[in-house]
Amino acid sequence: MSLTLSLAVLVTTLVVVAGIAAPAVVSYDPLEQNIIDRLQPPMFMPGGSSAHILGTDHLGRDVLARLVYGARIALAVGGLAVAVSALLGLVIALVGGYYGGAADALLMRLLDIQLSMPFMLLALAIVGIYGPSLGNIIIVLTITGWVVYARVVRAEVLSLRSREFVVACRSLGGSDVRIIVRHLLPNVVPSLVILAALEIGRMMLLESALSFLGLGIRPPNPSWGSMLADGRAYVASAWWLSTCPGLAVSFTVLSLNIIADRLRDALDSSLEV
Amino acid sequence: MTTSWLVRRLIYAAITLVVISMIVFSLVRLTGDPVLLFLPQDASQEDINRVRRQFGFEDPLSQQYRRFLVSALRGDFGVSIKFQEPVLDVVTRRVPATLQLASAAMLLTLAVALPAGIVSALRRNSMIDRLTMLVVVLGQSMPSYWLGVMLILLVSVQWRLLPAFGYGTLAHLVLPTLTLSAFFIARIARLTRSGMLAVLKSDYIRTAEAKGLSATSVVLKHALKNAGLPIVTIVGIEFGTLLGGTVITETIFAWPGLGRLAVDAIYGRDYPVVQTIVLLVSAIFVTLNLVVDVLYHWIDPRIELA
Repeated sequence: MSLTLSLAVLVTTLVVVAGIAAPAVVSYDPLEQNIIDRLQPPMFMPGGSSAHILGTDHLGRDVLARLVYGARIALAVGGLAVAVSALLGLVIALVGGYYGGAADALLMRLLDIQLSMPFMLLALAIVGIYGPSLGNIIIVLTITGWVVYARVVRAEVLSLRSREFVVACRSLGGSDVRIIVRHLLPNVVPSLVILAALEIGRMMLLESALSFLGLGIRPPNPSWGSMLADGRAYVASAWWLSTCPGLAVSFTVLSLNIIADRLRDALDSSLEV
Repeated sequence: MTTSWLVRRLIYAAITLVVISMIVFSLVRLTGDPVLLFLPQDASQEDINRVRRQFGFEDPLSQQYRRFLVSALRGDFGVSIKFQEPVLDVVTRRVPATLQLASAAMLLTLAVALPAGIVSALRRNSMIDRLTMLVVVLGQSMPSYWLGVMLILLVSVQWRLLPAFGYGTLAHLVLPTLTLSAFFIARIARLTRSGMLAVLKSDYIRTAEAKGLSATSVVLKHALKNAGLPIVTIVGIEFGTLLGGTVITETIFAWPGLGRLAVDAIYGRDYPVVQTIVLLVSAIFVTLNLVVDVLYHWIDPRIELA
């Protein structure tokens, strides 16, 4: 395993463990305000103390605690969005690709239409109108997410369905359900895994972008994007408020992308996304 | 290129636009009472009734949609609630700023990404290749809003070299352009590199080399010509994405363009403006796709007339 990949796995593991075991990792409540200790610099800066390793924000909340709880939110949103869109895209691609016909054609037109809408604007409009709740964010991310899986998996199903083992199964009296579940599904799993790995980073970026614009995770809950948006007002006096969450997003997404890339090389180098 | 193909392609584009207009139309109306969306929360009953009559929310949905579509085709997108003037005027006023930013970002992307992608494919595993791939991976992982804030922190606040906010001079354009193009530079450089690598492996390149042609001739005449077409297509389509992607950049740098107008309109519940911007940018998307498709078929008629 190369050094780059090892580092990527290490960072991802750290983020996942920190996210899951957040209360055990940090002793501060991420929502607890303490106006007296506001805008304290990180430990390694003059005036910083080991009480707040990464300093405090404009309301005196511990930055490290908010980052760690932010990891939990980023992972939950990213993971859920990937799971829902992968499942939706997979089912549409398997059924549409295998049966073909009018329903398939209609779904593919839908996919084209979806791809010709400006996602960020649409997402903002939907969240703006229906309110920024966790459910609405997942829905918005699924709207952009399912297309990726549907397109790739459908293309694979189209080439698989005339292969010998599928034809053999059908001539032996295998039902459509059996062919789809036992013969098509296992063959698209590698692509699905690669896509999911690539997409989770993208979903985390989108969630943080929505939160940055104030249309994602609702304050005071700590999302990396909204932390950065808050920190923007103090960019001249308290640089750590906007630097830390950005580093957290960048390193997490970078690590996930590296892992996904290596996964693609190992499983199927021909997949271009 | 057959006429029937072109006609079918035009019909598809028209259907796409109609469906998008339906989506945009219904977004605002699926919330229960759309009147409440168009008014501040402390609106009086009198105001509510006035708006309901003014926008015709009492009519059946099909009638409302027909009215929406007919006036939209005439260029009438209603009146902005915030500005109290026709939405079309409000929106078109903001188009030049966004166009300027998007064009600058596109130019920078092409100027950096194409040479970087080509050179790194030709000199695989060299320092330049490694550097390009590093920039590619970083550019695709770094949130653009963070890059923007960091640029403001270093270039504007720390070094005092360029203005952080505002619009008008060339100096104002630099940071937003960098922020907007970072992701696209990464994307186009990566695609150029992989496209060139694929072409360099093909038989006709080996033949050209075997004939004893110079390396420059092989790269420029044989490889680039063939790798270039898919890249041009992607660049064309990405320009549409770039227009949509200005939302965040414009918000960070207080750039008076469409993206910022959209965000402000969402905060201010100015839904006629939101609808129009989504519709306008979608229309640009669809048109770009159509133009790119037609050009592609015209340049390379081998492509299946599906």
